[in-house]
Amino acid sequence: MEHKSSNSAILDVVIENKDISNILKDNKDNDRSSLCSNSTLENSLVQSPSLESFSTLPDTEILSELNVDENSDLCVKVDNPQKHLDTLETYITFRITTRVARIEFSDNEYVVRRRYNEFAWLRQKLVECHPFCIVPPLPGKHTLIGQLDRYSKDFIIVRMKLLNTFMTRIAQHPILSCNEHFKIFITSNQSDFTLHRKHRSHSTNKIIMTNDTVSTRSTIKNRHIEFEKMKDYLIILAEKLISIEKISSRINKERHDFVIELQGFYPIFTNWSVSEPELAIILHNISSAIEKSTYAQSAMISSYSNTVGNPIREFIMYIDVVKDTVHKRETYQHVYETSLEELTKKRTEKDQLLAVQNISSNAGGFSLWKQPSCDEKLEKLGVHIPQLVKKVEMNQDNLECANESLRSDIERWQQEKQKCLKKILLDFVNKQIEFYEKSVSAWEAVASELTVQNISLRSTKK
Amino acid sequence: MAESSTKLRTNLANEDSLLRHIDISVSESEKRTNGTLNLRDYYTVYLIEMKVTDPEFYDKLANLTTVWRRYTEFEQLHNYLQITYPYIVTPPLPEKRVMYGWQKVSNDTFDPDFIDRRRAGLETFLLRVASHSVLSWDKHFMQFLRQEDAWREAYKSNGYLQVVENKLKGLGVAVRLRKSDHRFQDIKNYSNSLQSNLNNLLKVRSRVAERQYTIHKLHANYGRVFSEWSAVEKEMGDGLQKMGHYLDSLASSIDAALEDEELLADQLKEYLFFAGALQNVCKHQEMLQLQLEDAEGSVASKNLEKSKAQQGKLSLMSRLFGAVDTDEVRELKVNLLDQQIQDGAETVTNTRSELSDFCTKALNDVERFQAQKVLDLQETLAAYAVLQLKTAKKGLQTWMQIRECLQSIP
Repeated sequence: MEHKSSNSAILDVVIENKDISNILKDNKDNDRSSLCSNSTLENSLVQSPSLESFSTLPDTEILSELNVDENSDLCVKVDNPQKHLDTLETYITFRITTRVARIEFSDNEYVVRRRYNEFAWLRQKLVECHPFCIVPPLPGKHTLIGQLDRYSKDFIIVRMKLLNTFMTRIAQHPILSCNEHFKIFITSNQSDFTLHRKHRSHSTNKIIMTNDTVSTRSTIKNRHIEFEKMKDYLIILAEKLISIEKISSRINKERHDFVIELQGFYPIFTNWSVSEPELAIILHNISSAIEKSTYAQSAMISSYSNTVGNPIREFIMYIDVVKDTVHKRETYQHVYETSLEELTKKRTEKDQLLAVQNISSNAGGFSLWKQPSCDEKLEKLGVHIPQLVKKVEMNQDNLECANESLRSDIERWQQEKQKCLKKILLDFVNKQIEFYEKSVSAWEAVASELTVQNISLRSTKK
Repeated sequence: MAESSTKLRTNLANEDSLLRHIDISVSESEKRTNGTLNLRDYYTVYLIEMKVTDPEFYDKLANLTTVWRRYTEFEQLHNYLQITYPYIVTPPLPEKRVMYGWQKVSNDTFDPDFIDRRRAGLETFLLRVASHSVLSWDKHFMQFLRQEDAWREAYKSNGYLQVVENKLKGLGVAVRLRKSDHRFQDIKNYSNSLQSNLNNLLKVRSRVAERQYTIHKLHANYGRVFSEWSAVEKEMGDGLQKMGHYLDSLASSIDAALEDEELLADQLKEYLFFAGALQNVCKHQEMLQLQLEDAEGSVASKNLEKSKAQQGKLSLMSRLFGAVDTDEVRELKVNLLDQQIQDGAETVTNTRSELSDFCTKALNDVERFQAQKVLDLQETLAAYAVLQLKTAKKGLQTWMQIRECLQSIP
């Protein structure tokens, strides 16, 4: 299924040329060759002067970390970044490969190219369409890595992996993966897709989320215990993860200084061996063991960002999405409660007016001038109140729906959370084990040399 | 440490020395004061126990003697041995002040850990002296081990304090030789490089130890966080809780390892000070050689004077004014010079034989020292490697246990 071109992911630069894009348009949707790097090579190619910012990235290196699950009925993969030079700007696109076995899809495999802001569009649409689904977060515009050059290899790779995680999570989501926008995103060619984006999407949203509604946190009357507990849990979880990241980062920094110290330590043994012919062997062995151990530790230190630092930070972003979604639900609750309050108020008003009416009718014909306004009001209320009742019912329905939807998605998320965190912790621990194994083997080599030389030790029992 | 000193005793009991017949241990320490409560007047004393192990080694005094000695008295003994046997590579004392201390190794000489390590070092010192074929038979040394007060009296009455001071001062002077003995030049060069290598090693090692300590202790912070986290988790709770405990144990495991490493560092320090002892031997040789060269030079100049006197020409004045000694005066002068030359020649012969005697004995002891050094340092270095292996294995084991905890999470 893979083209030969996918064996090497050399970043080529494509200059979009009007003629070429016309040619491309004529191709069918599913003509993969028009979208893969191979054909762009044939069509036009101008070497970018900054080609050096990318080097050959073997696809296998990237693939192995993408955790592609071959068995599901919808499987999406993001890889193969490419630089594009437009007349207006330079940007990167990523190749999205989809394998699908669903009726709604006319084909089994799709390959498209998308750029970052198109992913952002997709996410926005998903949030609009499914406000109470937990839509996975996108990597930030200016990332976690901070000062890295936007076109540097490392930045692009990290972004690509995060986009891949994003797409995979959506693909595995029972509701989000059926979303129309998502389908178009992964299947359409460039022109169809652009068309779709421009098309004004009618808001299917029942309640428009504005900034004002968001600030209603403290104003809902009846706190929903279940969701309150969830909020508290999320806060604690995020707190603990941040702590863990801070501690790890601190330890990593200390290890970094430690390694520098060690690099000045092991040569001393070698230097000493120069004046000690009879001790030379053991001194050399010790020096070499320290050197190997130091090298292994160095490797562990440099893997920190990818193994611990960034994964934890990304997951915290995911937690933030859950928090926000739970918070949105409160808005619904607030709207419902407000409408209920209004209804109660109006009913009370009506009751009061009726009571006044009764009194005045019992009292006689004094308040003749009151009666018309009273009747007017009652009439108005007679119309208004049923409207309110309908509104309240609708809001209540919405709230119940939201609650249900959120509840089940949270349950889904809990499982994903467990899997994700378990993986992060295991990766972290495995790196430690890797380091210690190398250290043990380095020192075992020295110890076995000792038995060869039959050197007895002062303290053997311990 | 008990096992280590047993091994030391085995390593040392090769020659015919006191150690074949007795055993020495420095078993306890105590804090004493001069009477006032001033902190400066506190000092520590160490208990030296001597036991006669050879039934045939009969002595009027008891089979088991105990004396209390403070560090300064050990210093006095050490200096006495050094100046009395300048051709011997004198075993060194443990450090007077803490060298290359770090967070866990305080600079305070009253710190109980320091006192314990010093106690062990003093025992090693006594064992080394007691195992030396020459040093161990010194009467003064024997008295040091057995007669607490009598030794102090004898030391004072012999005025050793002054003698030692003078002699040690003499060693401090730099010496320029006409033709240095290349054998001792080699020894001096070797001792310089041993000293600089061990200094570097000890300095960096203590920095490395400090970093390792810090890193391990930081892991204790994890323990707390994981424990708190496990409290809010259902399925993950168990695994996280256990992981927290293991991380705590990782933090505390480093203490024992670094304590052991400190003992090995002490063994290296001993050889650092041994380098100094080697240098002293060389300095003494240079001093003797200088004496010889001076004596020879003195004889040569006297001979020159004699030949001049024989020719009657002596002083500048006489040359200026042409005065010439009378025969009588000339003869007197020549006879005097002859006597001086004879004396001088005797001095030269004596000095030469003293130097040659010194050189033979010194080279002999240096050879013994080198052989002992190889044995000792091989053991120390081997122990270091084994300790590192043990520490690494422990770490690996703990992380593997943590991995199991995590894998048990559904």
